[in-house]
Amino acid sequence: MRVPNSMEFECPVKIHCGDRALNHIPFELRAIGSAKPLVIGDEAATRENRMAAVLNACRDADMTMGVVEDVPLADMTDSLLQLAAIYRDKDCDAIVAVGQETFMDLAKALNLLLSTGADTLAPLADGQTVPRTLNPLAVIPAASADGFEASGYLHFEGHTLRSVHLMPQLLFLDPRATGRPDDEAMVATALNALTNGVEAYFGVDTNPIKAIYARPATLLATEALCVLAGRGTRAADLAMTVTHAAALGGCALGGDRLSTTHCLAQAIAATGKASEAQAKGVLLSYVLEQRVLEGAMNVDVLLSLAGGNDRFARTPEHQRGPAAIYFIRSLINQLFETSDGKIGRTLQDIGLTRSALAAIAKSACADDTHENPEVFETILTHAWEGRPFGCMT
Amino acid sequence: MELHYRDVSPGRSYPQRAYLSINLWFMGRAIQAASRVDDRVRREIRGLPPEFTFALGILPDGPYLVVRKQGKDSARYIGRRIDAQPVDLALSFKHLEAGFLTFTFRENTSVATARDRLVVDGEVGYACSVVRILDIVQIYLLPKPIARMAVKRYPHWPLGDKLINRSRIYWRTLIGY
Repeated sequence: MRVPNSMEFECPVKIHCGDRALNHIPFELRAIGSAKPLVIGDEAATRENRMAAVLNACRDADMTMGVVEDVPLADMTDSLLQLAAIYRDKDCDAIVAVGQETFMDLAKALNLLLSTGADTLAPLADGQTVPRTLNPLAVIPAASADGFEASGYLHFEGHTLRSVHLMPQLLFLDPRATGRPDDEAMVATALNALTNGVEAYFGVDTNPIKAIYARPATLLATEALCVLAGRGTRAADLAMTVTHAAALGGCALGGDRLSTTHCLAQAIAATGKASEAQAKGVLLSYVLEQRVLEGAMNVDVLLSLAGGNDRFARTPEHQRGPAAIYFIRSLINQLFETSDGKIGRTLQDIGLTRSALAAIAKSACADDTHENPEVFETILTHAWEGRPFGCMT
Repeated sequence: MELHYRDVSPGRSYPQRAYLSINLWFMGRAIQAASRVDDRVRREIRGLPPEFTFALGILPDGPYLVVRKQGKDSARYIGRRIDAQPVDLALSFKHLEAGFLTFTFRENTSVATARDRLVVDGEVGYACSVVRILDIVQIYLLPKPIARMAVKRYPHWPLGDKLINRSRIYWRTLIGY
């Protein structure tokens, strides 16, 4: 990896991982000055006993906690305002969020709202900068994650905010809090983590410290995907592996701008034809191949990153690039077979029509990116047809 | 839909707390006894500053064992309250469960530290001395199969010395001398 002339890296997230990690919550909250946290959880957290696990883990902590369970996500603004009122009325001083995906966005939005002292998020959506210091936020994500839980991204009511200050201060990964995800959910989480890891590693603003997070995120995600695709033996802690990968991927992403894969996947998800994770799974190899075509990345490294050092070492030097792309693509193909077609191999598989590609490319360009619609459309066309660029044969 | 708020005071685990209180009380008195019986413990205590006081216990509110250096190379068990006197070194488990893991000998002190369950507040060099003292005391107090789990490395000491010292430490611990 090339060391850039100037770089900046900030990751304020302290990760507690493993057996009894949840028991550290009271100590860590006290360490950041909290005496009465507000523990909030979504309906899935209550249903899967994750909320109960968190409260049980805080026994003997000598700390009173405010608890709001079953927070509905149908009307996010209403839930946000109610939670903010409760937080202020009950003199809480930190947020502990037990949930996944959209619920974590709600927790970040709540923290932002309370930290700014505002009544709505409208000024921030209109361009007001995110304050440098926010209230303490601890997140306990489940294995069904979108990969943005630990990141500095906040998607709320059609707006996207990004700042490294939006990242949570504490993140707890405990087998008791991963939930009981099905294979489909774990594949989605692993695909999100894989994309975050690879894009953080090969992004234009990458640096050696970011790579420290990106490498294990990618390796853990591919390990999990291989198992889910039927390669190798399934370990008991597969849910923890994908949760860990998602957390590291989120840290690697931080508050940096989104990559081509993210932008295109979000535009596809906005059409309602497929989830963002599915779109990322299809697109990732084509985006990387297109980047190789432009000479913008060292594709050999991708093999060690995604396939591991053993695979890298036993592949002849001149074959490492094609082998890396083939590795990702064959993984997606196998997932297509094991999931009975629920994980698409091409954009055609996930139900997009060819005529929709131009509009998707244009919509993706509206996001925070420097690419042009023609490049995006070329990538989408190849991904729709399942036709490699052919630059590496 | 209206959200429902409730205050939760998570409660106390009385059996675990009682077990740890007894264990720490016994361990504190055993350190005092070992400092009068074993040369290795005396050597470690000799390296500590005069009147050095250390504590080992559970956050946030105990129980603790508090031991103070007395004279040149012996120690005295002060009690179970950490806030009754200033301490130079506090080794605290972050939560009751972590202390319970260590004192039921499923996880030794080194592993607890590696897993970020133990907080050291004070000079690290002295903390290492205290951990070595604790290891020696555990080797004397516990049968070999259990002591193997409780310490990082089980040493090869002459069997005669070990058995004689063990019985002396047990008697002194029970009578508090």
